[in-house]
Amino acid sequence: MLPIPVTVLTGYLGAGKTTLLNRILTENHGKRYAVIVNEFGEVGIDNELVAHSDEEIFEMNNGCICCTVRGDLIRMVGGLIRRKGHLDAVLIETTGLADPAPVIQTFFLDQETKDRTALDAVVTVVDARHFEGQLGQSKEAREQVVFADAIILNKTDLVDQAGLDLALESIRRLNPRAEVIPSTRCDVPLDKVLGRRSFDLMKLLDIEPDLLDEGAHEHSHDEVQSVSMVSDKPVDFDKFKAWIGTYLNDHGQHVYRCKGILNIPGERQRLVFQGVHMLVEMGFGHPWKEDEARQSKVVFIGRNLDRLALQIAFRGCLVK
Amino acid sequence: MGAPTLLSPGLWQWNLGAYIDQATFSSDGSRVAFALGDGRIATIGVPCDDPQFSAVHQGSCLSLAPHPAGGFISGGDDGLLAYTSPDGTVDEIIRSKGHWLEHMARSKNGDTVAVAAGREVIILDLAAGSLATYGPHPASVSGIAVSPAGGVLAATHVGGVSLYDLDEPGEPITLDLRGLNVAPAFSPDGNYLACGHQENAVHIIDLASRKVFGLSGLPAKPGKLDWSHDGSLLLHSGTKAVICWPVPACFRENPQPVAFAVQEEARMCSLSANPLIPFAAGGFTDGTVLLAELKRFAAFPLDIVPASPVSALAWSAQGLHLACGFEDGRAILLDMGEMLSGN
Repeated sequence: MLPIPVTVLTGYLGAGKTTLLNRILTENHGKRYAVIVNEFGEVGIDNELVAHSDEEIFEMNNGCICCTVRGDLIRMVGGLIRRKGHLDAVLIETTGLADPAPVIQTFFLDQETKDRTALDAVVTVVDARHFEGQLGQSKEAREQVVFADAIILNKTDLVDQAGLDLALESIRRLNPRAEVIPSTRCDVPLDKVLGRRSFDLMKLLDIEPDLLDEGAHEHSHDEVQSVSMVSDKPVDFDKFKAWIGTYLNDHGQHVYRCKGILNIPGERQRLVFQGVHMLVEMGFGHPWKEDEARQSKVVFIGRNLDRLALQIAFRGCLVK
Repeated sequence: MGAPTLLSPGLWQWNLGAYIDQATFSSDGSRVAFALGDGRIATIGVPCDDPQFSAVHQGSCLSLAPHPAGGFISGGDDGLLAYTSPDGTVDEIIRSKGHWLEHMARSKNGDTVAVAAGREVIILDLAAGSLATYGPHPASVSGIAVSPAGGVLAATHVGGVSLYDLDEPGEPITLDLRGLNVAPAFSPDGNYLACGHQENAVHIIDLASRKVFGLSGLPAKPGKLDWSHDGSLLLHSGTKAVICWPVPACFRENPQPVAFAVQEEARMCSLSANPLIPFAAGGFTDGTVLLAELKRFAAFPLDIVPASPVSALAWSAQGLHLACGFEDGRAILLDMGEMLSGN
């Protein structure tokens, strides 16, 4: 059975998530989506899902608050798998769960959920007019943008060019690598939202080749940073695995996302990894093309990242 | 859908047309029942009749138990707790709107049946014809077990396990265990309780001394637990082999589990121990069903073509028949006697 793609839809209160959700559910796209709304007592949308949810956020045994898993989510994904018939995708709207991390983590932490689903993308809706103000008040508004693979910059009709530029600049500072799609009333083509395959990192990085300049660079706003590293040299996988395991164990609380593609000597395929906080997942991606430059690219997004230390450690993983 | 195929001596297969979520036998062992993902219950006369279907639930049928007087009790994600009689008539017991009735447990004689509904547990005393509600618990009930003799209810949830004396209702005893606890299982003598954890760990609790044996770092969530017939071994799913923890030896220093029948490519996702002999069945994600001998610690696979994950396993109370359900809707029944005489 092919894994079901899952899109996590997030955004601050009033940004326009529900507008987008309604479009997805009502437009004639010929697909069947199951929708999980995060904050509800009882919901039945599209005859796909009827369930009751209690907010279940709990700590891992190691006591790390960032490693919370949502029991309801696991239960619901399990429930969807049981249903007869074909399901094209699952959409999770994280209303009321301002921090998307626990939802994303579920797709790493629970083996069964991980086997059955493929996290397609985190899509964040941003209110162009109020974003600047929300940034000042809410850590969650910032984190939603930091975690995003795609950002719908909504309500652009309510701001002038200067306001739009300001919002764009703020988004770019927090998250330089997500695709930003301006919209009014979330009127974006749905294929920009669903089936993005953003976790196909090659595609993502190819969209923004200028993101990864030679060497490393850094964007920062408050303490949120993005550290990118690139090398033409192949990576010693054993060294890299040992390093990233230790690094995330020690600093994972500060790492919102990490992603990368690695050139492993003798491997036909690129090795793709992605992580959230302390969790990291690795697997082989597309094969390298004949004439392609085999570059290893790594991105860390987090708080108080030691750029130099990351750079030195990454270099230490390269094949000499 | 219907007619059985004989795969090998004592091994029959049906296609029931929907995800099989649960399997159980009628109390007299004459019929086997399967709970299906499309809300139906399929019952089959043992060993090889054509299946009879009853449309019971809207959505999925999630839990199933035999009624001591015949027929089956089932719960679904429509919140319906229903009784399906041997002739296929469906009667509503209760309706718990908005709750998935996916956890069900019963005492050994079947007179006490428990079902979880959100934060509460409903207890049916089928002998007395009465119904009682326990809870609310601090979070959704994620697993329940009734002690074999029927006197104690264990309900797992986030942060611990609540234990109730069913004979003398009162406040529960709460055992604190961090994380999300699942799949509680009483040892056959009722002296130990084991449970799994969403966080890939297992705990075994000595109920008299409250000593707790904990094991973490498993490859996946141990979502199914069971005890060998004599209670000397605890088995659990979530591993790439058959793993048995000796009890009470596990409470001493450096306990060593017995591990055998390593499966390189698959993980155990379904489990059922034979109630009468040292034998257990383990179902794996690649569709393999292993019969494990718990005396010699050796296992052999059932002679079936692995196709989709094993989603349900159950032994009859007499220990002679094993029912297997698969995600792709195949159901398999093994008659141990037939199989052994056929070889």
